[in-house]
Amino acid sequence: MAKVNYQEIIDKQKRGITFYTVLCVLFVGLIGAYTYFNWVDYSLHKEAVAQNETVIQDLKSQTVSEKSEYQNQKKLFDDLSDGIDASLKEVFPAGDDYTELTRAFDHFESETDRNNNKFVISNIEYQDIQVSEDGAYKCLPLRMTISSSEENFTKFLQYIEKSGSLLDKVRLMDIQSIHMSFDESENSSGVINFSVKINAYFQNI
Amino acid sequence: MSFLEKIREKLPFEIGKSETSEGKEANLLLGKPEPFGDEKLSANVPPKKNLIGALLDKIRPKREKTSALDAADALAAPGEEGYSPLIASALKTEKSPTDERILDAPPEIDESLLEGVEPPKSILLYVMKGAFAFIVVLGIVAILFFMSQTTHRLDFVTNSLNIPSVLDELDKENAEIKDLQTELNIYRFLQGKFYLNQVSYYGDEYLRNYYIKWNSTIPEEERKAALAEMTKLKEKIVKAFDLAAEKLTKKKGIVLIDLSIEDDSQYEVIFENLLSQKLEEKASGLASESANEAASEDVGSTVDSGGKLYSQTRQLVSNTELFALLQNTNIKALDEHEFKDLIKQINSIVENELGSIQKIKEARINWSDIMNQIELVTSYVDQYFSEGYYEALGGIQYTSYDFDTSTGEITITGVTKRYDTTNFTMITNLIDQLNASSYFTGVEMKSFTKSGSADEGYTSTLSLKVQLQKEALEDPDDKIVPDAIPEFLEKETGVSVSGISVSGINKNE
Repeated sequence: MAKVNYQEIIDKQKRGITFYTVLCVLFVGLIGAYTYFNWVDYSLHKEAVAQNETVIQDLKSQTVSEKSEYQNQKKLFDDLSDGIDASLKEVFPAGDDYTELTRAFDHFESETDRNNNKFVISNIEYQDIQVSEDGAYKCLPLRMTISSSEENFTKFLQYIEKSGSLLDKVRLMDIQSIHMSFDESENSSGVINFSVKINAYFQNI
Repeated sequence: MSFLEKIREKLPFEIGKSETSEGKEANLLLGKPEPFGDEKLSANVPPKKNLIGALLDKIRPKREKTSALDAADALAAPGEEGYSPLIASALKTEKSPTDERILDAPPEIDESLLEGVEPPKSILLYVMKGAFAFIVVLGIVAILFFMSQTTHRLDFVTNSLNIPSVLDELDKENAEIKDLQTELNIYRFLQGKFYLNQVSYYGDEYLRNYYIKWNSTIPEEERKAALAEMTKLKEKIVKAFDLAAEKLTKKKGIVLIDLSIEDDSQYEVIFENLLSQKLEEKASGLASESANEAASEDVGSTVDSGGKLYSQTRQLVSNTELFALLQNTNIKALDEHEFKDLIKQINSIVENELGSIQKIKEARINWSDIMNQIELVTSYVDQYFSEGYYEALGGIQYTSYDFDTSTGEITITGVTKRYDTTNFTMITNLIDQLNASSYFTGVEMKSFTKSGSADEGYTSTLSLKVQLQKEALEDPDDKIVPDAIPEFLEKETGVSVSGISVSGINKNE
């Protein structure tokens, strides 16, 4: 009986050796595979870190260059922006600014009206402010009655049609309707009486 | 001292050395041969106490009793040389229990004495266990190492112990790249925005000159000057457009090594969002600064203008239509009409005040040009229209115009006067001529009345409703050439357009 136990222990030891050998081989394999794949991953990370350092250096130099280019031209850009803003204040103001608009009509009248070349605004009537369908802007409708020579009538139409130019700084306007009538006597003297409906635009802020 | 030697020392028995007297006896019991040679030399090493030794002490008296017989048997049976006399005797007894039994039956081995006897520990087993433990520890170390380096699971440890992690390092670098690229994009977009402002500003001037050049009511000299100005402006616009394209069409993103991002195309969106976010922050920061410094008007306006710039620049970030336009347009190859269209297109897709202005300008009608067209068309029918010969020679005289932008409708009323009774022909010629114009359509008059006499002239009133063709107003190629006389007037109507000679006739007669 004792001999059997003794032998069993020996066998058990042998089995233990085999078991641990198998485990060791298995674990070495598993850990080896795990290490291999993770090492690949780790190496990629290390490589990425090294690459990123190059990218960072490159980006830093590009940013410095772009920034200095921007700073060098900023004065020009700011002047342009200021110029546009200043023109916009007159061309496309933030409010209806009807007083300024009335003065502008008066100025045009005084510049245009001559003894032999009539242009007289007899009436200006401002109406209720309207908002565009898309809400992008507002307009101030107004109706004017004018007596003018044919030449000045054309000038007036061109004045409205060219309005909104940043260079001329004339308030942005649009003719909605014109009604002209010619009396025979007026026609012969070259005077046109017309009434015109105009929209003067401004920002919807 | 090697690892195996260390293990050997720790063991309770000797390996590779001669056994102690007890060990020798144990070997005898097991039937193992006695050591010899070098092994014998090491027999002087003091014996170690072990269980086998203790057991052998117990059985020693029995062995002493039979020692004399054993010695004789050993001599008598040289064939059993490898075994102890006791075992040899037993074997001998088994082999020839009757024939060769000289002495009494050999004493039986008390196997019960071996109860509790353990075989020697296996070194290999210890080695294997040790190796396994080592491999397991190594595995855990490897797992911990890679987990700490390539995942965020052990960040609480690495951060608290200040252990460097390659993933952390990568994340920090990625964040730095994102910041730098976003900063770079901001400067590019701010510049791009300024160049687009230049395009809009010079473009506005270009459009104004374009209007002058193509408006037939404007004097020729002014139109020539406008053309010259357009050429200069085109150069400036082309330069600004190319620079805007250079700044705005560059890639906004960089491909990073980031496990959370699977598709590289996502980086463009990520960097776009970062750029938008940064511009928004700057815009809102400046806006609140502007509100705080509202007391100081100058500072407030500067800050506010900066806020507007950032806000408008932000609108460009996702403007793919603009980028496609900038990338795919060969601006130098455009003629003046295409160039004008391009400026309008840019103004419409770039969100700013100029865009709204552009929309309004595009919707309005140049009535001076329309009136000029009406006069021009009328002059095809009445050669001396509006030249003051109406009373003397007859012709067409308009008494009122009504223009309505919302409906695009024009109502013209007037009178025709003829001395040859062809008033109706003149009116229908006018209708046909207006309908033939690319500017007008739907002109008709179904009721004709005439009165007068050959001496005073026949008069006929006209009332025309004319519909504008707005598409034609946009296309300068369709404009009527003033010198051209419509073919149908010469071939079909029979109405003289040259009329009678006006020499010697007073206009006001």
